[in-house]
Amino acid sequence: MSELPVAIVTVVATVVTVNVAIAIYGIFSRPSLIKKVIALVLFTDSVNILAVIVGFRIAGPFPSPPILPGQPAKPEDIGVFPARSVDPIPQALLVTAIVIGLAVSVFLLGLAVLYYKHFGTTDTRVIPEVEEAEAPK
Amino acid sequence: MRRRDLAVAVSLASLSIALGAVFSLGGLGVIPASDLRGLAGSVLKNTFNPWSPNLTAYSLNAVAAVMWDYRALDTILETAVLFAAIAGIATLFRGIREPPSFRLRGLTLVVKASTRVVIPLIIVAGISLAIHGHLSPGGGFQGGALLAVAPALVVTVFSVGAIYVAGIRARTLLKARYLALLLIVLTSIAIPIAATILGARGYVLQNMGKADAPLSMPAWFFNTPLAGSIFVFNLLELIAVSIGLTYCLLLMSARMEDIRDSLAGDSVYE
Repeated sequence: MSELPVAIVTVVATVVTVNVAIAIYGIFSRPSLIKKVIALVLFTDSVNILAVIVGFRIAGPFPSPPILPGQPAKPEDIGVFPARSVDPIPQALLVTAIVIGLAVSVFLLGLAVLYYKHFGTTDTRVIPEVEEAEAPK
Repeated sequence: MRRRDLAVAVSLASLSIALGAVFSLGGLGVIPASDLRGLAGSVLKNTFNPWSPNLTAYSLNAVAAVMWDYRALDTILETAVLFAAIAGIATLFRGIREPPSFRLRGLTLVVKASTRVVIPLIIVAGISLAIHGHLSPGGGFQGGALLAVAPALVVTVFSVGAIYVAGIRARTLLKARYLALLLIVLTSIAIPIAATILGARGYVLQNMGKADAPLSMPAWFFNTPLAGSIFVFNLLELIAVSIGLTYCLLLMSARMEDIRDSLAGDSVYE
């Protein structure tokens, strides 16, 4: 019964490592600013998925989300809830991490939009040339 | 060039292999645990537990309870980070004028008609995600991010002019966002203020009554759990996030020549 969660978690962890490598490649090697931002978002989300895996656990009969079922809740529901649910704290901290990632990417996209509207391109190889051409002689 | 590509590929492959080794050797999570951490067990036991009135948050959703009750200071600071990012956007795009005429071009009639059907559904889903954030999966930020999809669709399908025609201005949005953030701060200090007036003790960001601080936010709305300040924070966070994202969208989709003009008059680029 517990082999399927192990397999899923192994696959997801592998995907996370590959994603992190791809994201680092995008951030450092791609010339386009927009692609750098996309790679940064990919990096953030990969690490977030890793944190979800850290909070996951094997619980019987199946791991449930950290939301108390049934309303009004009975004492026996509350008693059995910690035995079934996954860890809620990584998920709650993840919401914080997602919001901060969103704030960073919104700010970087604003910078990229201004770069495009000033230089006419988002290619970091071209921007120094445009700057030199525009500089007063 | 070829040698450089090879070096990049080899270094990335070794990085991902090293990361995988760290995950599997350190036991970070490749093999999921079967027992719960002590703190998580305590949170799960107390998130909705009327029989433990000093520790409970009356929130069925344990994630919302951790976000806005047990670790609320984190979430307040997270809201501050989002506020700082939007203030940065407002500074970058300063001096942008409104377009002088609102010419509506947009996409075809089919897309426009179906968007008119979809937008009310998006708004209702976003609001319900936020106000049921303590009862079911969801919360203020999730609902706000979903709600901000509606203006994004309007900008894409109709055009930016449609937002201005509807009477929404960037300056008004910024004021409404400041108001929501101010109300978040006021909610977090409401209990200490009330306790000082009544001569009792109260803590900042307190939700339910504690043993030495008896005041508490309303826990029930008739026979539905209200979770006190969690509900209020979710609602205010919905407003703050959706309006902040709409504001960024409005600034970033300004016309090219308006941004050029505002950049041209800027001493930074001289």
